Amino acid sequence: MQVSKAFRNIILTELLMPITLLVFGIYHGLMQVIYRAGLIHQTEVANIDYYQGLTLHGVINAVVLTTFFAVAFGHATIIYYLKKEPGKLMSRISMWLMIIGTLMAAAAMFSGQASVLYTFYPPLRATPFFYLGAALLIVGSWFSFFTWIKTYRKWRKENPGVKTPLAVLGTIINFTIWFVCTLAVAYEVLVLLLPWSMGLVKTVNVPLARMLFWLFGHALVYFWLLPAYIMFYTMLPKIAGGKLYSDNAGRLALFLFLILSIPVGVHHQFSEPVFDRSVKLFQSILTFGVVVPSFITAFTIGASLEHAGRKRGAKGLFGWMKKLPYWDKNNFLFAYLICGLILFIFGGATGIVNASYSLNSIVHNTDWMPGHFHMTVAGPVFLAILGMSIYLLSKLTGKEIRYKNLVTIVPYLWLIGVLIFSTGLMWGGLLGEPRRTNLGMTYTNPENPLFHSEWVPTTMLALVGGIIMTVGAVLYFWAFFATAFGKKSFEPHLDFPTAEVLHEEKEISILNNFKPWLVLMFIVILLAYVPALMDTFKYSGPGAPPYDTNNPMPLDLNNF
Amino acid sequence: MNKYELRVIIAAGTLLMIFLFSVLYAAYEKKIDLPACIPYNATFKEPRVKQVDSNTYEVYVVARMWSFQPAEIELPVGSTVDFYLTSNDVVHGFDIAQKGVNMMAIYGAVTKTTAKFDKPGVYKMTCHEYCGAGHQNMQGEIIVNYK
Amino acid sequence: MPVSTADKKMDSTEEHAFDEKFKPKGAMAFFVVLMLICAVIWYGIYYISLSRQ
Repeated sequence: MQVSKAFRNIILTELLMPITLLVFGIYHGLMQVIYRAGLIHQTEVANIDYYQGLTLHGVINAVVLTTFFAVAFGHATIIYYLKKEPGKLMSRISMWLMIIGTLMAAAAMFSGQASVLYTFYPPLRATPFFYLGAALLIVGSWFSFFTWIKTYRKWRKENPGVKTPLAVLGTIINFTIWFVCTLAVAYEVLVLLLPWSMGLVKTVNVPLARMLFWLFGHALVYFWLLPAYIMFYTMLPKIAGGKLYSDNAGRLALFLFLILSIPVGVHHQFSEPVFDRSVKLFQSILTFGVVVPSFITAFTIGASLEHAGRKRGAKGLFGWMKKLPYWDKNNFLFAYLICGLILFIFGGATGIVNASYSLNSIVHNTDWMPGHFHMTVAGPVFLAILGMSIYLLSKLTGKEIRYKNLVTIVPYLWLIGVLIFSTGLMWGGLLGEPRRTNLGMTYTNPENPLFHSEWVPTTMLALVGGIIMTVGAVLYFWAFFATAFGKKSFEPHLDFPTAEVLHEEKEISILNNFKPWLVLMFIVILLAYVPALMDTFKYSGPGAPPYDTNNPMPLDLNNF
Repeated sequence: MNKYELRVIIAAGTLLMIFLFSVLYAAYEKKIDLPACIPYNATFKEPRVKQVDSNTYEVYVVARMWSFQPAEIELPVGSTVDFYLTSNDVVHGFDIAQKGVNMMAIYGAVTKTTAKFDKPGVYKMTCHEYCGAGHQNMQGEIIVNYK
Repeated sequence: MPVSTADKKMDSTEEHAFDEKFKPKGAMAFFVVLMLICAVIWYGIYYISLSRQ
C-alpha cells in the first residue's frame, strides 16, 4: 500500500537515527569484552572511560534503539493493518521529543557526566540533562501511542464486528504496558531524581527510587519483546511458507502479557532490603505466570513452522526443522526471526532460573545476568529489530537491499557469537564473576593482588563470542547504509508478509475486548505493588545525598 | 483452544509448579532463603564483628566507595554467621559466591542473611554492583581457619 | 518480499485437505524437548544452590 511522504519520513527517521547510534553501542560492546578479558588493563580508551562506554552501550542498545523501533514499527503496523494514517502532528511531536531527548542524553553521556549506567541508580548522580533527556524520550513515545488510540477507535467505529488485526492488538497492548510502566519511571526521574540532581532537594529515598525503576524495568523487557512477538505470530508463518497455527493463542498470549508484565519487577530485587520475603515470593510466582504466554508462543510458532515444513514434504517428528527457508536471501526475515527464536530457548530457560526466588542468589548481578539477557534482548529482540529495520528501509525508500547475501548471513553469525559469548558469561557468573565491572584492571590482571585466574578462560570465551557478534554487526551496518545511500529503483510502499490462520477459529469475545483485561491488569498491579510500596516506607531510613562517580564524599551542589 | 494447546498449557503449568515446590522445599527444609529485611537504624553503620557464642557470629558490614568494612574477617571453621549489610554511600553489592550469599547494600536500608562456614579457606566478598570509578577494586576476604 | 515456493506444489483442495489433517505432533515433541532443556538448566542451578549452602 501507499504511505504518505510525511509518514515515510517519520518512520525512516525513527529507524535511521537509532541504527546510526547503534554503531557506538556496538563499538562499546566490543570494548567491554576486550577490557574484561584482560587484554588491556586501562580505565579508558580513546578518552572514553569503561563505565562511560558501558552506559552508552546500555542506553543506546537497550533504551534508544528499542524505543525508537517500537514506535516506528507501531506506526507501520497501524498504517498497514488499519489502512489509516495516525495524526501527523502528534506523530511529529512524538518524533521530535524523542530525538531531542536522545540527543540530550547522548551529550550528557559523551561529556562523561552521566556514567551511571542505563539503570541510573541513585545516589550516584548524573547531570540533570541525562534525566531530562531520558524523560523526553519516554514522554515522546507516548504521543505516538495517543494518536494510535484515536486511529484505532475510528477504525473500530467504521468496522463493527471485525476482529482487531493481531498485529494491531499487539501494538496497542504493548504501548498500554509501556504507558503504565513508564508512569513509574517518569515519576522517579522527574519528581525524585531531577530536582535532587539539580540541588533543589537534599536527599533521595533510594529504596523507593529503585522500586519505581523496577516497576518499569521488567515491563520494559516485554516492551522490547512484543514487536518481535508480533512478527513471530503475524509474519513468520507466512515467510516460512505455512500458516499461523492459532490466532486465538496469539491473542491470549498478548493479553496475558498485558496483565502480568508489570507486577513482577521485584524479582530484580530479590537480594535487596526493604521487601518482605512474602512480597518477593508473591512476585516470583507472578513471574512464573508471565512465563506461560511465552510457552504458548513457543508451541504455536513451533506448530506453524511444522506446518510449513510438512507442506514441503517433511517427514518424521523433527523433519520439518530441516525443510525451512534458512538461507533464502529473498526471504531474509526468516533467518533473523528463527535465529532469534533459537536464542530465546536458552534466554527463556535461564530467565526462569533468575525468577525462581532463592535460586536468584546464585546468579544475581553476576555475569550470568548479561549472559542471560543477551539471549533475550540481544537475541529475538535485537535480531527482529535489525531484520525489520532493513526490510522497512528498503520498502519505504524504494531502494533494493544491497548485499543480500551478507544480510542473510548476519543473523547466523550473531547467533553463533551470542551462544559463545553468553556461555562464557554464564559460566563466569557461576564462578562469581561480577557484571558491570572493569575486570581487566584488577580481577583479570595477573599483576594485581585481586587476580582471579579462574575468570580468565570465561572472559576469553566471552571475548571470542563478542568478536563474532561485532563482525556480524559490522556486515549489517555495511549493507544497511549501502542500501540507505543506494539508488531508488521502485515506488516506495509498505507491505508486510501476513500469515493466514490455519483453521477459522470460533471467536472468543473476551479475546477481542480490552476492558476486562485492563481491569485485571490494575488489580494485579495493586496486589503486587501496594505491599511492596508499604514495605519501602516501613523498612527504609534516611534519604541519601548525591554522589559523584569519582568521589566517595557526598556532593555539595550548593557550591557547585 | 484445541487439545494440543491445552496440553501445552497444563504441561508448562506443571513444570512451573514443580520448580515452585522445589524452591519452597529448599526454603523450609534446607533453610536456603532470600535475604531478610531489617528496619533501619543508625547503629548498622558501625562496622564490627560480634561473637555471640562459641561458634555464632554477627558481622555488621558497611559498604563504601570502594571497600567493605571490615575488609578482612577471620572466623573459626564451623562458624554460623549472620551478616547485616548497609551502605555508607551509593548502591553496592555483596557476593560470597562459594556460599550463595548475595545481597545489595543500600543507603538507608539493612539486609540480613545467614551463612555457615564448614570448610577452611579464603572466601571473597565481591562488590557486584557498579559503584563508581573504583568499583573493580572492591573486594574483601573472609578467612576461615581451624581454631 | 516474494514468499519462497514450497518444494511440493499443492492445489487448493489438496491444501485444504492437508490443513484439515495437520496435527502438530512435531511441535508437541519440540515442546517436550524445550521443557527438558528448561528442567535441566533449572535443576543444574538448583543443585549448585544446595551444594553451596
